Amino acid sequence: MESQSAGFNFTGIGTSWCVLVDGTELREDVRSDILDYVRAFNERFSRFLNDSEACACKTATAGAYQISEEFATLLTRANELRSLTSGLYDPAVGGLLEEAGYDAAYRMVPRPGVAEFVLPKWEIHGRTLSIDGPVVFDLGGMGKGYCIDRIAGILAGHGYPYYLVDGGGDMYGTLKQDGEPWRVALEYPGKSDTAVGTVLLKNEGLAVSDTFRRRWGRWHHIVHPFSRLPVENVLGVAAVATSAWDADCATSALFFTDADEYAAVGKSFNAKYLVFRSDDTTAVSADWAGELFV
Amino acid sequence: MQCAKRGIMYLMNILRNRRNLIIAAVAIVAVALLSYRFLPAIVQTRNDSAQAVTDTNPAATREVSTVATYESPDGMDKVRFTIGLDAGGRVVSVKSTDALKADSVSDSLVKFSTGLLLVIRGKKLSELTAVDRIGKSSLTTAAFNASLPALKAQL
Repeated sequence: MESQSAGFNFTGIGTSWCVLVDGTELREDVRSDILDYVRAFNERFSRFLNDSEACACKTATAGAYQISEEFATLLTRANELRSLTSGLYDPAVGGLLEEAGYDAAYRMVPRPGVAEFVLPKWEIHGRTLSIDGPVVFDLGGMGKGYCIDRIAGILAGHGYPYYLVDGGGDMYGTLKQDGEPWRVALEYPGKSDTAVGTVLLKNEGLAVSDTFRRRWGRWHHIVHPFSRLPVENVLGVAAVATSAWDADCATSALFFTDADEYAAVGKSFNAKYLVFRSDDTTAVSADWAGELFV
Repeated sequence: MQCAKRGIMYLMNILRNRRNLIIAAVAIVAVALLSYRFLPAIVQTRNDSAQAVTDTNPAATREVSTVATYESPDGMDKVRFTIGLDAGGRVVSVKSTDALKADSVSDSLVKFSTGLLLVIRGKKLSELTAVDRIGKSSLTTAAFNASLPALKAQL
């Protein structure tokens, strides 16, 4: 079973992290580098921090603004997701989540403004962000996947060849020292004691998302930008891709994808996927590798 | 291919509606899935073959498996497709392994021509062994959990 004590455990960007290195110990200076990066990532991109880049346009007027290269990279990818889902995935939904009560103060009480929420319009060209008014960006899992890959980069940069970075259930794993893959159980959406199956990670990222956690009243954290309601036809999504970021992008998009487009979305990110649907069936991608407990 | 596809759909419907599959039906699933996946390769390479389904572990929890041989761009491959059954004949697991490499699981396996629709019953995490981590949706934050009493008061 999973060992909670092994590895380098810490909290960051609102979740629990665990870094496992195989065959050696993780040096203190590397731990510091990882903590510094995660802390900086949170300060820059959390929508819960008013002075973050994600909130920089919270009270802005319409216009074009220069943003950091890293934020531009994230928003450019988010823009691709937005196109892929015909606008249904949109990080500008951050304002709607706040109106629904999922805000920095965790009020969890929907405000009257929910019904009137209009999705802000935005465009990104290079490092120039154009907006039509105030906007709060919620990068969600897509941002976390990016962060996981950067931590993997820190480990690789320090010469660690065999590791697994687990960011609250999303992860990236190289091979183990003996050449074997990391074996990861997949939790059943909404059933924390039950496994869907197992996957073997070999220089791959895994992303898992469901609509059971971060739920309040009739709301959860994945909301439809036009109907202004939470997504309910998909219970959860899991994806494996060549990076954690790609895997997270695939899960983010699949929540808003019709069943006949699953394969196309998976292909966009070279991702294998499971989509757990509210009718209790699971769509399994053509190239899914691993064990499923059917 | 259309026949195999219809077979898959039919059997997946059975999976959805009746969990107590008889072993024969499971065997057909395995063959159908294999045929569906490997039919093009088998048709293209005359020397390829799919061996008969065998019952490899006739204990209370059993497995049926079939081995398909096909030609890939890297040479000849042998894939074992295994379906696990409990004492009641219910499907409890599906996996494919590389029969040429001590039945290791390869990410080049389980490449069906289209996605499948399955009913996944799951297994208790406590029953799994040798798992390095658990992939899951992010845990809720302490602040989120602390807000729940206030939330419940509103319901």
